[in-house]
Amino acid sequence: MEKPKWPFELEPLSWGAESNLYLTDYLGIKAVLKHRFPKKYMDPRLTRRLIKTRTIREASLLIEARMAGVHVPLPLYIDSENGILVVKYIEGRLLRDVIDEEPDNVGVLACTMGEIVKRLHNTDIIHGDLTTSNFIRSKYQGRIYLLDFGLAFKSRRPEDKATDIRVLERAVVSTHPMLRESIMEKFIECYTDGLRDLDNIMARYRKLSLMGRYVAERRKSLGA
Amino acid sequence: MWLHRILRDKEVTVLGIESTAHTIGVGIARNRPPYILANQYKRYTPVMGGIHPREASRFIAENAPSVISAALKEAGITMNDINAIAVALGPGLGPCLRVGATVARALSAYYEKPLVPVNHAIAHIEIGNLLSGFEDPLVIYVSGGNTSIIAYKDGRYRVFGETLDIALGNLRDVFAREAGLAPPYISQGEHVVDLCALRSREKKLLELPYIVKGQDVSYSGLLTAALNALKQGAKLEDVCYSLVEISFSMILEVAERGLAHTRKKQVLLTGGVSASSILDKKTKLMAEARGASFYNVPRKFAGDNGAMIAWAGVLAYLNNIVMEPSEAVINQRWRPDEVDVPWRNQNGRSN
Repeated sequence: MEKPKWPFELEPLSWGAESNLYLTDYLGIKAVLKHRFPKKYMDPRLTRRLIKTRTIREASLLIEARMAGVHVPLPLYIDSENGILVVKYIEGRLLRDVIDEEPDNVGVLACTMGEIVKRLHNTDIIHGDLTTSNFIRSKYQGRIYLLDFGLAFKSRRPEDKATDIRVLERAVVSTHPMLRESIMEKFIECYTDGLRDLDNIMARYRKLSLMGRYVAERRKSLGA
Repeated sequence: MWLHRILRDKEVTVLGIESTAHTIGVGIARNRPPYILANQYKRYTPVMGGIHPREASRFIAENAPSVISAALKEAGITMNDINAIAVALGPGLGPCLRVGATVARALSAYYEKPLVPVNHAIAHIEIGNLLSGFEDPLVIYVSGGNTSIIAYKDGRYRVFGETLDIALGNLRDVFAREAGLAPPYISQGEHVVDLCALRSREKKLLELPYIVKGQDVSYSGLLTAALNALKQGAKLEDVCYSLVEISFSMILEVAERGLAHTRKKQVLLTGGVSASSILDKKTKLMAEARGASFYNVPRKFAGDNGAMIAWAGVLAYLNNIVMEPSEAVINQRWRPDEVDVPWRNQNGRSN
């Protein structure tokens, strides 16, 4: 596995399909280094182009999300040519674990997630990979942060926003099958409170549930 | 070895009929080595334009009897030796599926053999498993009508990612046709778009749309942009090169995500597009980088064929999956994740 060019110490955190994560120290700040590496199966120019645009996009969307009032790990350093993005390390527990450990708190946590995603969507940012593992509760102020904007993009299309919610629901179903309804109900309640383009997004969301991967359900609902 | 269990069962021989698109294929399979006893097919190639479902279905109807006879002859058996008739009921083109289903219902009723419904996509996967000896692969299924990343989990083959619009093979065929490269689509065993890409001297990489949304890909924008580039005077070979590089990278990137997510250790490449040497090489590189083993299903079993329907029919029949001829209705959009696969256990291994 190719190591990033980086003058400080690196401690491997995780190996992903698209990038590797390392724990590092950046000028005295505990930080996470995300390294996008070139793919051997791609034309070298294509893989470099993708690395560069995705690294820049991720950094700028993190900043834009913060400006919209969403807590995110802020970018500290970027080297898009080498696919390096360094963000502040957030110490805390993933909501995936918090939800299982504090079932009484599920309503509050789901509502906070809903408010975060609403703020994001109101500035036309689509996260692209919403799961309860991408929310973290910080150890110090108890704030909920949203992580990993690696698949995020800008769009005002209601179907993209609806898909974002559908992706979260799919993740909730597989991670917290017994809590699906209590989480999604509270999430939707807080998500829709003050959401721009509410009717179109929710209409799309309901339609999406009956589309694509869910053909069988749709056929049944049509009596086919 | 995963074949143990089905070898312990009584000997069964199944005749399988494939007619989901341009191919009328008839295969014969048995749960004893050499497993595949016959694999006969005839493929409809339009003189111009794409596959017209009516023309293709007429071709299938006209050729079905001779292909069935040829398959029995190749296996050296008669209808008396056949235990069941398997048929691909979907996904595919309605008029074509209907002909295959009609033939299968007739054979089943006349010879009093049970009828076994088979999902075309699952048949592609199962014959790949048989030939590779893989027990639990991540499947890259790329053809003229299908583009999916599939993996087994909890009793079913799950679609991990797929195309949101046109299939990879469709992208290649339509581009070839519009650019004046085809028909014929295949020359010396390779697709004309690949051959055109290999002729590109400069290998100029044009800025064409690369669209991956989470686990899914979208090819229709790429097709439009490639044709526009051609109209605006870009060199044909460069457009081919860029189209091939970008379209293959997109599906492999999604496959790599699937591999990381599912933690599978085997990669199976199948479907008509798997015949591409360029895709074969790239997929091998991707699998190697992830520490996974790789198998590309040989051409005659990777394109649409009857042997795969017969083999999937053997697996289903041994699990008592049969239906009355009157129930055997086609389903043009029959997704693989709607089908229970009882012949695999919780670990994704055939039990």
